[in-house]
Amino acid sequence: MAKPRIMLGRLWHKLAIAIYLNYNAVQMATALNLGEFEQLILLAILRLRDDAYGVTIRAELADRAGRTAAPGALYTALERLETKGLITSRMSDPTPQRGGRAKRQVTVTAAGVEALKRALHAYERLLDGLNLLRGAHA
Amino acid sequence: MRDHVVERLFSLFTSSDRAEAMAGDLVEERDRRGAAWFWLHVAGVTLALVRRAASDAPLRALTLTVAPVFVATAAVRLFPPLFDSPGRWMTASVVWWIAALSSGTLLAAIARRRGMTASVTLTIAGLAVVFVCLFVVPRYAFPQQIEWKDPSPHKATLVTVDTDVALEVLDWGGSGPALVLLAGGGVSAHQYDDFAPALTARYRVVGVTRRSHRGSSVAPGGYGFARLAEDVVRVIDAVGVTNPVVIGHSFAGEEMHVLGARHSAKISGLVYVDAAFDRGDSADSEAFNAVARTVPAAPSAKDADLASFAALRAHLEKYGGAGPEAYLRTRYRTNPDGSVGGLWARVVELSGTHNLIVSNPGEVLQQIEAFVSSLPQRR
Repeated sequence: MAKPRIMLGRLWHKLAIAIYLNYNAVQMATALNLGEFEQLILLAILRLRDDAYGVTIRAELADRAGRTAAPGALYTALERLETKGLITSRMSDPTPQRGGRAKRQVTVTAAGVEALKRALHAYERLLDGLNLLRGAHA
Repeated sequence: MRDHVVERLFSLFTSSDRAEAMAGDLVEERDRRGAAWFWLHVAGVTLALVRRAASDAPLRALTLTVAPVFVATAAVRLFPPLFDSPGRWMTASVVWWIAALSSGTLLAAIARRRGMTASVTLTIAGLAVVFVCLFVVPRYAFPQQIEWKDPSPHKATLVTVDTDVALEVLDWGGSGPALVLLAGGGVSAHQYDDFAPALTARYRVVGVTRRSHRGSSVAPGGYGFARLAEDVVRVIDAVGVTNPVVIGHSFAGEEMHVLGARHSAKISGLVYVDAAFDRGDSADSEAFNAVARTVPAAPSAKDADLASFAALRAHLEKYGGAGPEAYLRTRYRTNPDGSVGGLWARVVELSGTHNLIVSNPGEVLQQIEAFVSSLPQRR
């Protein structure tokens, strides 16, 4: 990639550097790594098995992880996971509560499980020898 | 029913089955969490969907974001009275700020997911959109507020007349005998902006703004009439107008008295446009007026009374006294045949308000021309 040309005027120089840094940061972020929120969601879906949809996922995150996720944020994350092929979804039959509206049930794909394992292995290797979870600080 | 509206709202931005599931989720939780929670998250989900839709269809989103700018501009142009207070104008300008910020944010978000070239292009496009929204479009909406330019054809300069005191001098140009226009109290030489251009065909015209009046520097002191007149003399010297006729309105009379008494070599005449009198003669003006009211008005002098200064004296003696003849000779010109001529100082009464330059410019102009042409030529 071409380096920003230092010979440009001060403003253009700064602009070019800003774009260059931003671009690099973005390239790293878009690699297929799971964010922390995504990992929590995938785990919650796995735990819920056949009953994973908006309401239950949020409840599970609140109960187990102590995280209150806004519905809007959750839907955005679910759609992103689905685009990446880490989960699939299908509409359930309409239910009488919810005003007769169907639920969108989600399940984790094999690729989703793989990505989750990769992330958790990374934690495992980093935690190795630290004894952090048993309260002893290394 | 309202739930149905929510579902329709969501379906504007996503597929209908997703909208159904989302609305269903919120409805299901509403029983436990209440209506406030429900509506808060209807708004939250809508916002999330809008952001998602915006990054999927950037061009349409950009159009929708920038559209309010043009709507607001049109509103301001078509209904200016609606935006005549600062508060309302602020409200309107908030539209431009929001549009500028959100379109910039939007383009930045889109750029993040593209390659290097697209990032650069979109960043520059974002800057352009922000610039257009914030500066170009409002300028079109409020051309007169933002771009007001003094339409009077003068050149404004600052002339230093004292330590740390510079006066605003407006030069309208022109050629012919020089005129220096002095502003009334509390106003600047711009008081003559409309009047001065009518003079430039025959005169060289310069206007002066008094110290501490807007346009000139603020000075801690120097407000004696002698000092104020000195300021005018220094402007005359600095600008290089020779022997001007000084024309002053209202308060400027105070400076003109001093100019006439002490600097008469510098000027060739004074025109008092409803200008101030010399208060030195009437320290107690109320008492003076009370006495004046008891004196019957003198009937105007007939031709016989003006045949000589002696005749004029005899005439005036009948009505409260005439004073020494030398005094009369300083007030009146002498005709070649020895009879009494017109007043040295010509006084004309013009109809109009105190601000004669505005209320009766035509006659003021006429009188100035008559006065200047009556003056003897001076080098």
